Amino acid sequence: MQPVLTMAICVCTGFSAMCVSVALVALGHYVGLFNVDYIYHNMIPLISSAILFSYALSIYLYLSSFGKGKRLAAGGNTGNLIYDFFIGRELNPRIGSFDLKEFCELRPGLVGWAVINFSMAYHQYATYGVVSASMILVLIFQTIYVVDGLYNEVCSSSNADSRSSAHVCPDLSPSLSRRRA
Amino acid sequence: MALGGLHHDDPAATTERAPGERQKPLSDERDISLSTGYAPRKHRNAVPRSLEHVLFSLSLSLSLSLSLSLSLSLSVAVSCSPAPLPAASMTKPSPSPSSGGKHHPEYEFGGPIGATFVTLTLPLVVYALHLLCNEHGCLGFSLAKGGLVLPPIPELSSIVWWRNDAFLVFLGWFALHVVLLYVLPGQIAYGVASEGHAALPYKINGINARTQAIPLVVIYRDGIGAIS
Repeated sequence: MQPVLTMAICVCTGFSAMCVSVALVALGHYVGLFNVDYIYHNMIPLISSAILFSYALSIYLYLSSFGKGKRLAAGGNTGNLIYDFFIGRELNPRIGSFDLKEFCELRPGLVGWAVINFSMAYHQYATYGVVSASMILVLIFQTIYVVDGLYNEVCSSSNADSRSSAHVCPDLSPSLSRRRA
Repeated sequence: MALGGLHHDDPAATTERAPGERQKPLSDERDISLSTGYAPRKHRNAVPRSLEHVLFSLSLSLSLSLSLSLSLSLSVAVSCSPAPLPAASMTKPSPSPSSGGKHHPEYEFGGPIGATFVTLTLPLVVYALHLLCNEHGCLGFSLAKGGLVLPPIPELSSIVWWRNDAFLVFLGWFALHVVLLYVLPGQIAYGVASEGHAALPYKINGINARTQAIPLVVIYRDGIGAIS
């Protein structure tokens, strides 16, 4: 019998995490603790930070996949160092109960994306006194994408779709593949 | 915004599955999110600024277009073709961790070459996306103007590539979400048990999400109201 490999990842607090963290950012900005304009002015250092962090995390994940009792992804276990590093060698890596893959995909990334967007809109308004129509459209559509992703996080992962080919490229149809579940 | 329309009906019911239930193995499962890293680019003092500027812009735009087209076409062509991959992996035993799994059904993303290319150029693409479309204009293409038309880009030496406080902000944001992951209430559900592995527990609070949509809408309204 084939081993049943599931995505085995789901701590579905993503949506409330988004609500709380966005509320905290809004509150912090409102009371003057910080200014969300910071994101606009420091985008390059923030990009560098994210790149360095993700590089370090990837190296850690690759190395830790050689530990005992790790479940390996069939496609990421070719023996080719750079390819395995790129694809991901361990299946659903966890630190304790902390699932890195689901977490990094949804939490800091998606919510951060929405926050960055609002920071850019804030800067546009602060600079020009107006938020452009294209900016508003970007805000609306990308925030819908983010909310949809987190709202439908709801543990669709473990059943999502071993059957559906849409799951194989989740980036093209995330909500579709989730709704099918 | 019609959040109700996006709502997943009953997550708990579809999540829990009898451990023994036969399921097509997700042996083609992998994380295709591109987590790569790149050390901040250092300014080269020896090269004249204008030349460096051109070189940098060219390499950015080249890597942008190349890696985008390469990764997109490869990922779409290979990973989205419906059946072959799962079917191929069904016929082969999954490599056990101890065997090292030297055999491999197929490479994706162009194999080791594509993996190297994307790993190295993706950080450049991220910088390029930020630098090549700014408040002075966006990267464009014009035959009349001889191809790519670059917007004004700040002098590379004037760009602040790294700030410790920005790194702390990034770590703080990450840490905030780690905290929220554990602090926020949620149910515990169990996933599918795999062979030799117990079912993993999952915390679910998505059922409550409908009620939590209300504060979100308030934040949304106030956020947009505050901006415009």
